[in-house]
Amino acid sequence: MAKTSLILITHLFLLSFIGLGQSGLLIEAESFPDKGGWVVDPQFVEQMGSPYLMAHGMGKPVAKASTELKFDQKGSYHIWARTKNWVPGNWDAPGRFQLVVDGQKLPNILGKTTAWGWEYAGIVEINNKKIVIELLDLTGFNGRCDAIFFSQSDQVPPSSPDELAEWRKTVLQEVPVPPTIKTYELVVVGGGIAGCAAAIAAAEEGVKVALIHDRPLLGGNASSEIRVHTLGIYGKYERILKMIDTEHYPNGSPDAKYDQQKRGRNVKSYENIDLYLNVRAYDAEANNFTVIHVDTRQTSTGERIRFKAPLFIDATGDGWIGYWSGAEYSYGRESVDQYDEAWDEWGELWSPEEADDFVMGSSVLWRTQVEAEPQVFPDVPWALEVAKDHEAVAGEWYWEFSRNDLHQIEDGEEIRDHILRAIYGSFSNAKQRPENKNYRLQWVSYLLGKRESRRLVGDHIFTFKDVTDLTKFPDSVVQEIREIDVHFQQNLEDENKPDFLSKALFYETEKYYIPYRSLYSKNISNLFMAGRCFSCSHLGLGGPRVMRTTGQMGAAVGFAASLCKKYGVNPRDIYEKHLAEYMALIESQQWKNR
Amino acid sequence: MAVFSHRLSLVKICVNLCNLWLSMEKNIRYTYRLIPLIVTNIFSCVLVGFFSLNPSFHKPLFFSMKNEVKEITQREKVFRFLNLDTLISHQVELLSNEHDEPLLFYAYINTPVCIDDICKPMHIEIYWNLLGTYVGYGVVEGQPLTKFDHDEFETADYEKLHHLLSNEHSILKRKKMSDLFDKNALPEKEITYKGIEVDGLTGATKKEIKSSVVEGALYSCYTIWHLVHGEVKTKMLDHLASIYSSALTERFLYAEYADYQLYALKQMGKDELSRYFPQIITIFHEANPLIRTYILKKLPEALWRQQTLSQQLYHSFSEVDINTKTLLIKKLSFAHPLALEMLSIHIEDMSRNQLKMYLTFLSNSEVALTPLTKENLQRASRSETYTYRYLLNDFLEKLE
Repeated sequence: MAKTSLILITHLFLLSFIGLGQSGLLIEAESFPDKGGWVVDPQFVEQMGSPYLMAHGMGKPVAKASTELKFDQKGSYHIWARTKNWVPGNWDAPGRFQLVVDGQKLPNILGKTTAWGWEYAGIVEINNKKIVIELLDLTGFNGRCDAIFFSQSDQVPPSSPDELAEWRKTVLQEVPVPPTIKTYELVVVGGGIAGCAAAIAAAEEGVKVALIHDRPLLGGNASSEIRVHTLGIYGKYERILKMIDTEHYPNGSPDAKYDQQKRGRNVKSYENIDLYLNVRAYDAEANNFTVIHVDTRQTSTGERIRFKAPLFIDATGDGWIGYWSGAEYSYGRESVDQYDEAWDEWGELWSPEEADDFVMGSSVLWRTQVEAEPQVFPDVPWALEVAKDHEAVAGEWYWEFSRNDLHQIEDGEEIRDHILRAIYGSFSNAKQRPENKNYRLQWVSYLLGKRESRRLVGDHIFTFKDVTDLTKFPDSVVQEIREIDVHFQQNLEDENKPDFLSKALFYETEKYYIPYRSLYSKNISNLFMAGRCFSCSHLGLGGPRVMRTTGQMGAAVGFAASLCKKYGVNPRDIYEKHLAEYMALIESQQWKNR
Repeated sequence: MAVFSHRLSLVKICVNLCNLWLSMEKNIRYTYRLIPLIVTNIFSCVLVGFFSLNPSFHKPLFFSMKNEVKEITQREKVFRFLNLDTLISHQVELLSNEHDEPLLFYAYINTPVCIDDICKPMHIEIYWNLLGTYVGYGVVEGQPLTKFDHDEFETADYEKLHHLLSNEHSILKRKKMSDLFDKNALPEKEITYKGIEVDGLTGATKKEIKSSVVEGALYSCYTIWHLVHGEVKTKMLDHLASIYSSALTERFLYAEYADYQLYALKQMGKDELSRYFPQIITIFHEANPLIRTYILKKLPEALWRQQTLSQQLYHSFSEVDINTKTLLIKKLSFAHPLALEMLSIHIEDMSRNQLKMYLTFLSNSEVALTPLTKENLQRASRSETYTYRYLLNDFLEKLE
């Protein structure tokens, strides 16, 4: 009986993400209850419309994903899959897959067309009411499927982003307002180190917090899914940051899992924190320059929740809450004269005379393992255009990609895919050498480790000049001694170098400070920001972007939020009217016992 | 090195003259006492003067520029700089040719290298270019470079030192002397992390420092690297700024050195950019992406509108690096309308976003598409091997 109920509930869930329209059935691939070896990739929703399933097998085909569908009408159904060839060119598409419908493999190979679009999988006779649909990966090289549409008509669903979005809502019968509304005293969007620190700090002070994160594991770039180790100092927040930071393992080490367990355990131990994992914000609305709600969607089931609160913290990295609510933001490098940020030794590599769109690149970390037996790695002709003759059996932080025709948010998928090609191609080249025959790929991230994109604007824009001047602010809440560390692509100085490797410039400094006024929006009255989207210039981000420093920012705004709650005021009022109490709180919380 | 063997000869001559003087009878000595001294002085002045003019006075062991050393005829002391670790100040000279054109900065460094209060001297001659960038070094006769156990450098060691000094980004830059013997540093086997390789750890590792320096001469390498790349560079740049002239602008612009070219470009105003634009175009074609970017950003709008400039820049679109291509497309708003047509030939060399930018410019252009432009777009849209033909098709449909 319990089992029947469970199946019924599961199907109801499925039906909620199966749309009926145009005499058709739309199923979002990421909602398959059994994902097999496929992973959910929610990173590029704003660009291509939806999370999708990806066969991230590092060259070994992954286990099938499957679901069961219920059809009301028997008959002939055309089937389309929304997919793409992620490396179009004069070779077999790297990410190919097939659909299996009720045990019958449809002959059309999918994953072959340039750009996200509907590919025709075939036509089937549906005789049973319930059938099993499976995704069969053929290559292990990042085939991707967003959705599958069954229709008795031969009309292809729309492709253009706006039309597709509207069609999806219609077919899935989505109401404009998310059906579930939750209200908190503080909503933190983004569960990286900054977001976790903010949630903990606020929760400790009695604030009821929602912490929303689009992955199953907290930590962002420090999570065991991306595995960048945390750097920087603790400042006044050692107690909190030690709950969520990492050891100094090599970037990409599987030892990240120990700190992952620690982080999850600690954040979940707070009763005042309601944790929403695998939930991604897709919109925020502001009224009269005040955020009134953030709308979210579960990345697999599509279940939507609207979060309301008097206060919000944008810890999304990309500054999404700020962006959607109309906060001022910047992107790219300012001119050297704008904030007087020159370092003559490095000239244009450090700071340009004329402003431009360059930002530091994103990385994808990866690791190999030496086995007892020789390991075969498939040929990857589609990767060699990027890797060229570069060889590698290990990656590191300087596998980093930035290019001035690519935007770190709008072209994120292409950036991630470019680095995957760099990795697979370089590894393939290395494998041609007999001494590397026993190497195999142990782990390759499929999530981008971003360094820089949008920066929201606060009452103070933190700059490199604040570092060189060692400015002590009345509201200094973050401190750091680590070098200012700004990267450039190696191929700027020598165009024959690979375009996916970077170099770092280090400016040594004594202790510098970041003011509270760089941690709330200038024009949206109830919005804090913490993390790499804080208020800074491009060079201002160079130092504080490491994660103990961003963690300090998170803790600082979490404590500020608690005072905002106490006095019923907005973030700016803490600086203007309650600064002494705020600074005293930051001091005293260092010795708190739980 | 020839000058030192001649100096030895000079010393011998002086010693002989002194001996001659001493061997004279006492009463004659006092009468003629001044003569040997006068002769010695005249002789030394002639020799010193002679060798100042001798172009083979400088013979660095390594030199990464061209023939500048052979042209040296003059030297001028220009400033001293202080090494804060040793509190020794060193004299820097400006070496010039017979036309008074400055060529190189130079210093003869005599500095102690110390570990735990045990010091030994190091003698070395350093050459920098006019921007304070290290370009070579020489050793002093009778004072070879040695390791700390007193073994002399071998040929490979001398080469390695030059390689190290040529690296402005060396790991040594971020390290203090005390870091070089960091007892807490991970031992070698942990750096390879349990049999799974990592391609270096973040920041420095003992392995990385070790591989960049001469074995057994870590402290010498550290000391001299920091001297060569320390605050002396700022002083050299300040001195260059004080002597910079339009003559130097021209020399730099036509020099075969990218850093000289970039320096000249940075000092130039709009008028000079106009005057020198044929050479600037030549530089643009051959330069690295950083310099190309700088040129494109700096060229004033008025120059872009000139047909010849636009032709020369856009003609090489398919040969330049991808970032330069993007900038060329962005500058279409300033460029002569001919550029739009020229780029239509290179559609298939564009990335997706470059193509989108270009098509946006075409859509917004006040000038109608030329027949040749349309033809090129149509041809590319029919090419089965062209990945982004779907974007071209959308654009061409809207045109109709």
